Amino acid sequence: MGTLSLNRIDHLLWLGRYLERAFTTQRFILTAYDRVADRALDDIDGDWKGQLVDLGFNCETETPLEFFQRCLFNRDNPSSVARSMDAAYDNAIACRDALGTESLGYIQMAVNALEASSASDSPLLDLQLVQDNIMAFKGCIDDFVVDDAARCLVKCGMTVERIDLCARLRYRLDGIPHEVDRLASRLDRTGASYSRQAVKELAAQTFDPAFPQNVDDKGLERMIACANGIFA
Amino acid sequence: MDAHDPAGRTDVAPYTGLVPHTPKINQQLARYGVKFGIYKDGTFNERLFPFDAIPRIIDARTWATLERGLAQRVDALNAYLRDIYGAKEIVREGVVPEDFAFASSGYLPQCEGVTPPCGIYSHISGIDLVEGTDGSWYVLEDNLRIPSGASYPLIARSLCRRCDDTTFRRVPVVDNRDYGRRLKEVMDHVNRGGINVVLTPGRYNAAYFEHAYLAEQADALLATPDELFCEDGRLYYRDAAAMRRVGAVYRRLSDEFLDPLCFRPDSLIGVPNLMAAYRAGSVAIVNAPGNGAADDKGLYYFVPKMVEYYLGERPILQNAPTYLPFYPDDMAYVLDHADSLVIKDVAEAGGYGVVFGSTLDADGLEAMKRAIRSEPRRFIAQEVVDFTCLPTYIGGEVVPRKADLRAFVLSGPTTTVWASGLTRYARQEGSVIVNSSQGGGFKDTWVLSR
Repeated sequence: MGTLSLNRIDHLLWLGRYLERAFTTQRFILTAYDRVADRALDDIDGDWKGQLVDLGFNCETETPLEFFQRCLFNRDNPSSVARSMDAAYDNAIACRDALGTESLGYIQMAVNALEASSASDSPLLDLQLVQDNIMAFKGCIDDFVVDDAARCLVKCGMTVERIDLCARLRYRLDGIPHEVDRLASRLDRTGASYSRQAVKELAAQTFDPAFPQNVDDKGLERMIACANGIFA
Repeated sequence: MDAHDPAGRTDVAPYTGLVPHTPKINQQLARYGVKFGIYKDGTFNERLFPFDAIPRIIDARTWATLERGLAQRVDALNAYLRDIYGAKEIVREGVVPEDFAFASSGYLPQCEGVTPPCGIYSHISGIDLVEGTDGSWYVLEDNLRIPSGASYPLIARSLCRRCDDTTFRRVPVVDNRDYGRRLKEVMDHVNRGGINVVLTPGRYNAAYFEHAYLAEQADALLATPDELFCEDGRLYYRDAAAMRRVGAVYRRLSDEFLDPLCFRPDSLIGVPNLMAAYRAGSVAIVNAPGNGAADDKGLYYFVPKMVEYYLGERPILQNAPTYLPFYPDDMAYVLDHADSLVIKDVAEAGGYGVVFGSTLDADGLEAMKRAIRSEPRRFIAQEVVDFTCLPTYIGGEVVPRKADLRAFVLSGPTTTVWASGLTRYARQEGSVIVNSSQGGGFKDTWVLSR
């Protein structure tokens, strides 16, 4: 591995986490919006309804679009996509020399695209450009970042966040085993210390053939704790 | 488009291919995060640095003179620093008055008797010049501490080259994209064994983009102060796996914050014992601490004398006509002509503390004179140099704007001048304040090879 300080490791991991948070939250919002856009709250599928109410949706005071815009662009909301992108940017620019100006450009463009989409008359449609740039960043670091450890740290951060978010939002749970698999293949290449026990527990839970059908709220909480405990 | 030249020049053809692309180039600069930070009302904001695609063009002959003059000036300044922290002969011989030299706030007694590796104090010097309307060039300021700005024309050039396939084939512009390599060469030259790092105070520094970008370009590691530590008289980078010895540190923070055990004890962004490692000769600091002793606005007056004294040569570049109220004759002149001079507070930077006497009313002028009388060392006064306007593309038309030039001189195995530089222009018509922190924009600087 190249020269990476603990600070730098932290920045790279959190860059991955915040970027993934911004990305998966957008995807979740787009899917959720599609489910609720033309329905009354009472007509929405049980799971989705619970998730939206958990997220703070109030059908009495706002339309689904207003609610989703709040989740996307409101910087007073610490879980908003805008706040996640700001945090991703802050971590990314601290690593310009490790990631390269070329790769970093995609983060900047994602930030710019999100800003533009907040002022757009079709904000959800314009989110595509934000996602395109995040995807381009992921591809770009494969091509431009020579240091395998730096690359793996960003990707591990992304995977940890995806597991965490999917478990929290009960969203795309069936994809989690694949994420755990990818995580396991990269952890040793990061050069960072991590909890093997947390990975083992996560794998035991998600590689169970009955997963995700057998997972209850407690199981999801355990999964979230394991994911967050890997680099703790 | 019709790129007429309101400054009266006729050589507008070279850049016409670029002008229509100005908005797109600025978009690309935004894409790469080319920004600078500014604190206003206690809040940190990042701003894009407006780029004008119409470059400053310097012909080969003019550049040859500037190049020689700039190298000569920096060689003299380095000699002065060696002397002032060493034998002090220039003071003993009365060329620079003793109390004047040592009263400079940039003079650091902590650096007494320390000779940096290879005897180089100022490795990266930013010399601010203007071209007078008479075609003469004047040096306005020497920046030997942490001069910023090289990254901007560096990245802008790459983008401009993509705009128009004929411009750079037709115009013999010297390629400026070797700055990173040259910076590396300078660091390698003084490296005492170990890696090169660029030390940044962090994310919220005004020039953070530049710190990170130059680290990338020079293949150095970008380090924050908490990633560095000293042990047994050596500087190390705190790698997660091992300690990595640092041989050269291109520091981008001010002297007073560099080492809390040596300078300001309240500095939270310094590296404790860095100065001890530097004194022991185990690490090079680029630029050396204490350089403020030579780039003080007051010391500027003496630079032509330094050239004669140390190099035995006539200065190739001239200062703007300057008066030091420290001298009684100059004091009398300044008080008599304050309404037509520009008065500068030597403690200020970034365009602040600069007052044009002509803009003051009677009360303001009297207050200024009182301040000069009570603290003569704090001020210098200069004749107003009527410096040239450059054609600038603003609001869809080409208009004249005042512009200066920061040239970069690199002192490594030899003293060389980067064939480019940061041209800063005033955004407002008639304004002479070109500083980015006060709304100015920038241009690339083209040096022609023939």
